[in-house]
Amino acid sequence: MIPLKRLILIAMAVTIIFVQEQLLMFLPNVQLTTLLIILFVTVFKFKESVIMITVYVLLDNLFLGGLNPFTMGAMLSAWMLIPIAWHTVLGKTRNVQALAIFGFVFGFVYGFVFIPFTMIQTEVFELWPYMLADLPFQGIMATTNFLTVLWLYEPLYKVFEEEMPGLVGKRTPVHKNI
Amino acid sequence: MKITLRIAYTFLALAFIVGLFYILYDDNEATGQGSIEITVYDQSGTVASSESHLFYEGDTLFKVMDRHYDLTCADAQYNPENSCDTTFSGRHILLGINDVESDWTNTFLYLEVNGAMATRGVDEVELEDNFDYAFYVRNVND
Repeated sequence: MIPLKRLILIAMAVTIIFVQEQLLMFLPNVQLTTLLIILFVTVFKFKESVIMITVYVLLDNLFLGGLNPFTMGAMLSAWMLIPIAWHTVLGKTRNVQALAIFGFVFGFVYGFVFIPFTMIQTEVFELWPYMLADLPFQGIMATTNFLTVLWLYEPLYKVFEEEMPGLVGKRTPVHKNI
Repeated sequence: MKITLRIAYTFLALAFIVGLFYILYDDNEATGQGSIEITVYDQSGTVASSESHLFYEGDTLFKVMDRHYDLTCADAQYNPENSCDTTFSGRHILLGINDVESDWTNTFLYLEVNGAMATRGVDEVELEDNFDYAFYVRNVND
């Protein structure tokens, strides 16, 4: 059972992610979504992160129209890689360099995850055009992820620490590896 | 992390993205002149137009088409824009050619060059003498 306070925090996290994404929609692949999801994943438990991402993907697809299973499936698979990676290969690190490099790699991974879904949807089963067409956008996303995590992760995490010490401090040695 | 290290990383990241775009975005402007065939199919697969056009040095497929067709491009929100002023990193997203139109969400314009799927858009695709370009309206959800 998730405490009410944490449920509200998940709802607020989804709202923040969703609103900033809509505000930055006019800039292709320039967003703070990866930074915010990484931030919230490092604060929430795995189950909470999964709920947050599921609700965000559902809301995003509902708003953009269609609830297209191919887009939703790709988005859900891609974003879920963040909590999975943080709880496994990243060893729950809060090292900014490690998270920034992860964000950079994730920019490309996010694009790659969409390829099989797009192939099925468009019935064009040639890999090369997808890779070539998406590479600039993946590059933008990777660079945006890297820079935003590099510059904004620490100050945003400190806001959590200062405003909600019980929430963050309970489970994690905060300054250990920042 | 030290601020100098952050700034160094920032410059590295910016150099990466500039380098990536420099490598990927080759204009493929024509180096000479010649003639090309452009065929446009409507959504039912019927030929809407099939014409030969001349191109000159410095032309791209978009420039040639812009001279001869009423083009509709996507604006920043992917809505139709007849002026084709909006570009994405200098590239146009073509939504319509004369009366043959796509809406980006449900349909898109699919380009073939000499019978093979194009890997680049109208601003970047190679423009060579005697090349055939065919545009089809494809359904996204088909």
